[in-house]
Amino acid sequence: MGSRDNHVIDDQQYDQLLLRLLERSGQPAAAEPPPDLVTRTLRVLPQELPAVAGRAAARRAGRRLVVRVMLALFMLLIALLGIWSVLGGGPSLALMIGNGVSGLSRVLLTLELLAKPLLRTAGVGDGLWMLAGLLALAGVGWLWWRLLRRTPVVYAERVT
Amino acid sequence: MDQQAEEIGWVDQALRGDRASFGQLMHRYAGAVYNLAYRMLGSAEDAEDASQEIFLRAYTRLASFDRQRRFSTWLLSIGSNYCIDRLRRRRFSWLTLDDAAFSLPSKERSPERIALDREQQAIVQRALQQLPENYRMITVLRYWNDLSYEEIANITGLPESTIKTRLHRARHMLAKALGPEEQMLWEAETTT
Repeated sequence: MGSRDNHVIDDQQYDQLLLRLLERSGQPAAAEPPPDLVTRTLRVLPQELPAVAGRAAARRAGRRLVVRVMLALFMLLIALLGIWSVLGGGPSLALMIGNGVSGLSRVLLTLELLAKPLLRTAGVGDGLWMLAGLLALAGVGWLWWRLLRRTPVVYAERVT
Repeated sequence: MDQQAEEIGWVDQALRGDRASFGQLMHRYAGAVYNLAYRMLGSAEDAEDASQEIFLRAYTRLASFDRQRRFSTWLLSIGSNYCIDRLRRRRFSWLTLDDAAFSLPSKERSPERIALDREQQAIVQRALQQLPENYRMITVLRYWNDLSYEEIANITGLPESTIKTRLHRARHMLAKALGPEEQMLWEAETTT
């Protein structure tokens, strides 16, 4: 018989029981905030009216989001162009921005040359390897999300 | 004048640019906000930093404060969301040394660690840190902020039934995390 059937006391009694256990350690007790917390916080409050400060904060958050999205799109574009040129479908990205001898152009050319055999190998199995790789990547992503972001809550939900 | 009317007056004055009125609100809730952050984040340094950030957020969102709600509920909901976000960001940076000290039992304890362990309060604080963040939040609001199920539901946006279920499990977990003696006492009282 599971422990669920043993819940013979109500919420209020559980509350009292836990409070008795906490009292053994002198809790729940209030932790004193630093005496100058309010003064220091007042000093760092924005000079503008709350509504104006709120709009400014929203604008800053919006700008940050736009920059992040643009950066992500830019990286995606570079990745797609890079893959396209490595697979031989278009001009070399590295040679589009330089001669491949120095600077960023050289870095990209090095990456292209390193990636070429890997992608060629992946392409041998008619894209099957690529598909397997993508599935593995999705699996690792799912596992990461499950382990790092969900587990504590899911674990706790299942504890009886 | 009752407390809620007084606070709405301070909110209105703060919205018109009277920072001292916002200071009054901070004075009234500095303890509640700091305690929530301290119990959630586990260190005084983080709690101080988080309290400042919570009040800053409240100031910039003051225009959106709904006068039908209690100011404390609104403020603590900003605080609880901020603490959860901060804990999630902390998880992204894997395990900090502080987290490791709190969650991994060590056979070779430093003198500082031993001194801390001697303090009974540190035991509770450590036990709290072992609860999953959503459970810790509800436990802190219930026992340290002394709030009702309804108030916790208003702060977290969760149904009261979920609050009750989570609190029920959180109590078991906390009793277990407090130590073998407390766990034994808990089980003796709850399973007979």
